Amino acid sequence: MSVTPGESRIEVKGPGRAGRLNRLRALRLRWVDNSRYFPQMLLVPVLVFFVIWNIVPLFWMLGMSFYRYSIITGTPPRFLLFGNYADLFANIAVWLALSKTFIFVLGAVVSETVLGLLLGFLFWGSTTMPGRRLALTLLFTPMILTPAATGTFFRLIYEPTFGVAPHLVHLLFGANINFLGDKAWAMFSVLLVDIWMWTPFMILITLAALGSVPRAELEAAEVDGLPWLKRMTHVILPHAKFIVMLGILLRTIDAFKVMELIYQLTRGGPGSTTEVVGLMLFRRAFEGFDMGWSSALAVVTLLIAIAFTSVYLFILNLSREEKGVA
Amino acid sequence: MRREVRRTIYHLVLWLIALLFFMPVLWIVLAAFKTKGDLLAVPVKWAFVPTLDNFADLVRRHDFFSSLENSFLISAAAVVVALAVAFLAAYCFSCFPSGWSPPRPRWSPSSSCTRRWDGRTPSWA
Repeated sequence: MSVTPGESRIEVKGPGRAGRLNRLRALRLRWVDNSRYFPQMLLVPVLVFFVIWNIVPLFWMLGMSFYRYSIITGTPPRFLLFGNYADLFANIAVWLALSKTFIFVLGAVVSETVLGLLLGFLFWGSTTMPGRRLALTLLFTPMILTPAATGTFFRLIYEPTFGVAPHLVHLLFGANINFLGDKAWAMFSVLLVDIWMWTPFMILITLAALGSVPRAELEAAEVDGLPWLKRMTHVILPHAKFIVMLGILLRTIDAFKVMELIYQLTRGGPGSTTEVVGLMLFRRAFEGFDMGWSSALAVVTLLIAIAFTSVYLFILNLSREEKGVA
Repeated sequence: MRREVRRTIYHLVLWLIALLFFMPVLWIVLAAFKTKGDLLAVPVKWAFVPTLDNFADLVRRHDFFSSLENSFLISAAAVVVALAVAFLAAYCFSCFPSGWSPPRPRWSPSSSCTRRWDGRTPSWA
């Protein structure tokens, strides 16, 4: 058997089992070695993974959303067509959960972006700061913690009798606040934890975005004595906005599907004050075992998330074309 | 001189911000060294005698090491599989980029890879 580079020429000798095996191997080698489909073959593992873990469950969920299917009753699934969706549409609790999710997303993403940009700019100009790396490491610790663990330990911090946060508030303002148990404060407290956790991410994104601004342009702006605001809008923003937009997009998607943080903090309470869509989904699917209904809710959530993403991508592409990069 | 002072204040503020973000983590880390009595003290106790009892307790738990092992197993498997799968895909995208502009999201990856590969290593390799 001999293989010349460039083109596989494999001599196959003799009949019988060995010959057949060799022929098969020759075929395989020809395919893998210099087949025109070689690049596609490299993509096969990723596509297999994608199909098994994404496409199949997605369609499974889509199919299940048309059925009444509960795992605990033991009755076979019953086809409802859009029954579950009609129920979702008429259910006030779903609308409430959706509105709370939007409040959460808006509050979290806006504050994280504003704070992240602000602190990112501050830290960008601090190259001569003593212990800068240590300070940045301390700053980024919240981001690397597991949301479930963060939720658990913030429940301890917010705990009204022995928690440190109510104690500090009492010392500073003389007020007694039950952060997670009070309807007026619960959402704010949960948001505060999310902001604490993910502002460092936006700082990191801002630092990366500012790092992508060419040094020469910055120096030119400085030599020309460009005022601060103009330097911002004409030099920094055009370079930095793609990465910042990407950060906002990631945060929006992430905030939209928040579940474990709120589950650990309040379990959606008090009442249903902090019951966001992710939590509702979890409860109906894995505490109520109502698979059909929760699949329908999951499909709706997915569609909303896709809508978000498309809007952002549209904006991103729009600004890119404006700049003439495309 | 004024500039120096301003710079020092600026750095101090940045350090304060970093410490502010680290505070809750520090609080929990400190809680690991407190006894139950210190943890649940009302009002909150700021000074306490550190103890390693909680760690000894943790190590003695029957499920601690098996959970740790599971965590390691899962993260190692995730890294290995993701690396192998993503490496092949990334190789495809970086070696056969013709007709495909990377910064712009395109939803069909195949357009980059339909070109016949001439069997040579790419110019940058």
